[in-house]
Amino acid sequence: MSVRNFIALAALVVLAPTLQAHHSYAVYDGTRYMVFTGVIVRIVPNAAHFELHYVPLNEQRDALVRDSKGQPQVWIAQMESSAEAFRHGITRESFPQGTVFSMGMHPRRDGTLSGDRGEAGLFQCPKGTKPAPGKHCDSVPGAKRFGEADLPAEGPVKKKP
Amino acid sequence: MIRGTTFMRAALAAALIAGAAGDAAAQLQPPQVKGLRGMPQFPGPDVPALGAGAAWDAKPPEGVQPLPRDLFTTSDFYKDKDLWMDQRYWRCNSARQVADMRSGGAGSSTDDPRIGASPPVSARWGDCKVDWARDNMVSPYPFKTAKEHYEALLADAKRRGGPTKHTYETMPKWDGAYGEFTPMGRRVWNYMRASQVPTMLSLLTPTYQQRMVQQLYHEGVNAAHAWSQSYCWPEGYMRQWATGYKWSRVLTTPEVVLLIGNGMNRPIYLNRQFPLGNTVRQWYGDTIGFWDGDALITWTANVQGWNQHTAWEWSDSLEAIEVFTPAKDASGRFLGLDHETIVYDPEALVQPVRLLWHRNFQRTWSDAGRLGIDLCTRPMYPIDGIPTAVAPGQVIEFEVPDMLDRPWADIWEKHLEKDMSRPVEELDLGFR
Repeated sequence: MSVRNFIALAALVVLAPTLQAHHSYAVYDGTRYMVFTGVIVRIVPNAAHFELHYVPLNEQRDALVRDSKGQPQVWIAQMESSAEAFRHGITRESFPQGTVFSMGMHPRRDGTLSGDRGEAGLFQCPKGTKPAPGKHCDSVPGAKRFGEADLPAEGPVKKKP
Repeated sequence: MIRGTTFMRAALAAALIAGAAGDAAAQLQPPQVKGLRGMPQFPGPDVPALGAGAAWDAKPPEGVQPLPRDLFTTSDFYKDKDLWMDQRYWRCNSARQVADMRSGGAGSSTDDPRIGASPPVSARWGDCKVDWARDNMVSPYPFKTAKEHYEALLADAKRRGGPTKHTYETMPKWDGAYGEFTPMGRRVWNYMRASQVPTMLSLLTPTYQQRMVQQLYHEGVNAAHAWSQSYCWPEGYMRQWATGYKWSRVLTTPEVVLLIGNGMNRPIYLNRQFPLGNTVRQWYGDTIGFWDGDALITWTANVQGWNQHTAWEWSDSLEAIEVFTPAKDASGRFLGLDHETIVYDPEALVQPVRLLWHRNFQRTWSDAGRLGIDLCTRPMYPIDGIPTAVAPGQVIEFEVPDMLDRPWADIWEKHLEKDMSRPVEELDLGFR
């Protein structure tokens, strides 16, 4: 084992406790991704699982998705711990209410309006901008990436080679 | 710079204390570092009730003309903004008296509730002449921010060869269990017992004035006390200066000083700098500090904005300086800690405030009883806006609150303010 690999392994061991899940993710369908563009309502920086509460934008990207009563349809994206989110630059300060962003998410199996980020990419549109119809923030010039991943393809999770 | 009036009051208080009790005198006289450390302050007396029994229902003090409309007769307290600063609007009750209109205090009932026979209009009056003055609560120091204050204290320590780097052998032996020193039953002003409500409101910005009025209205008029423990909500930083959830034990090491209680722990990281971690607000903030001889000086930031019942809400901007100074008797026996706190919150407070009290050493860890850890798991639930105990198996309708957006106010506004004129805040996300 090279010194570099040893250090990497040691770092993983040290970081492991912070990466552990704090409740089961069995409720989420890890076999597929849905990809959305939405607007931040609030950030809930729980220690166990950071949450983004958002309202999806319609396909035209010019209106909020609303429920049968006309109220904005709020979804919840659960993520890693707050500490891990912070390492990606995801904080209450960097995602204020009204932020337009795009992310992939494993949806809940029962259709409830929430999901798990999994390993999906997360992109923030520059302030005051939005994607073209049918597009996501990763297509907007100047968009900011949080973490290293790209937006996944909508549908079944592609197996890593 | 200590202001003259404060100094005179402090000197008078010290003289009074000296005459009253030897221990008290020692406990309330921290060593002085000119211009930077707290002066002794004897707590003010509670605002008393005018009298007990039905004869006092709605009866004003002699010579006091009641307002045509006050907290207990209004149908919309938001419309009474021009009256909030008149102590008659509160019938000269302290905030705590308003909260306790129907009880004998927290956790106790009474057979003679001060709300009277025809609630809420029969609410009784307090003594309009008793008021712990605003000058006793505002900071006497010239600093605008906690950072500026901390740096001045640090520079002062450095000028005298500090900060002191203690080892296990040299560090102050503060480990043990502590109580709250309450001379003549008096408590620090943040208990909300000693001041007229307008005096408290004068410390607050307009938004936070409205929030405190809202809280007192629902406690006094509707008995809808949304106290944190009722709902198993966190208590938060400022609750340390009120009933209940405060630190009661101290553990010291050369690297960290721990302030611990049944429902809280506060590590004070010595000789560190901010940030200590990420920007996720902490219920008791992040605290750094240094030793200046045998005094511990700390700076707390990154605090979660929250609420203390019967009192003022604070914001995410709150920061505080705390100075812990050992008090000893003439023989050098350790009596406890004088605890001075200056709270900076430019969002909630029109100027910084200061709390000065004493925590008396009671016993060592070896002699003290078990320190129980209280993790609340049996909440009440808001039924029609009122905290209500619900038995296992009972099915209720429950609306999930937004815990980071004043959940207590959300409950009141939805259930108990339906016909009031509070401006409605629509969710505006920038899209139709």
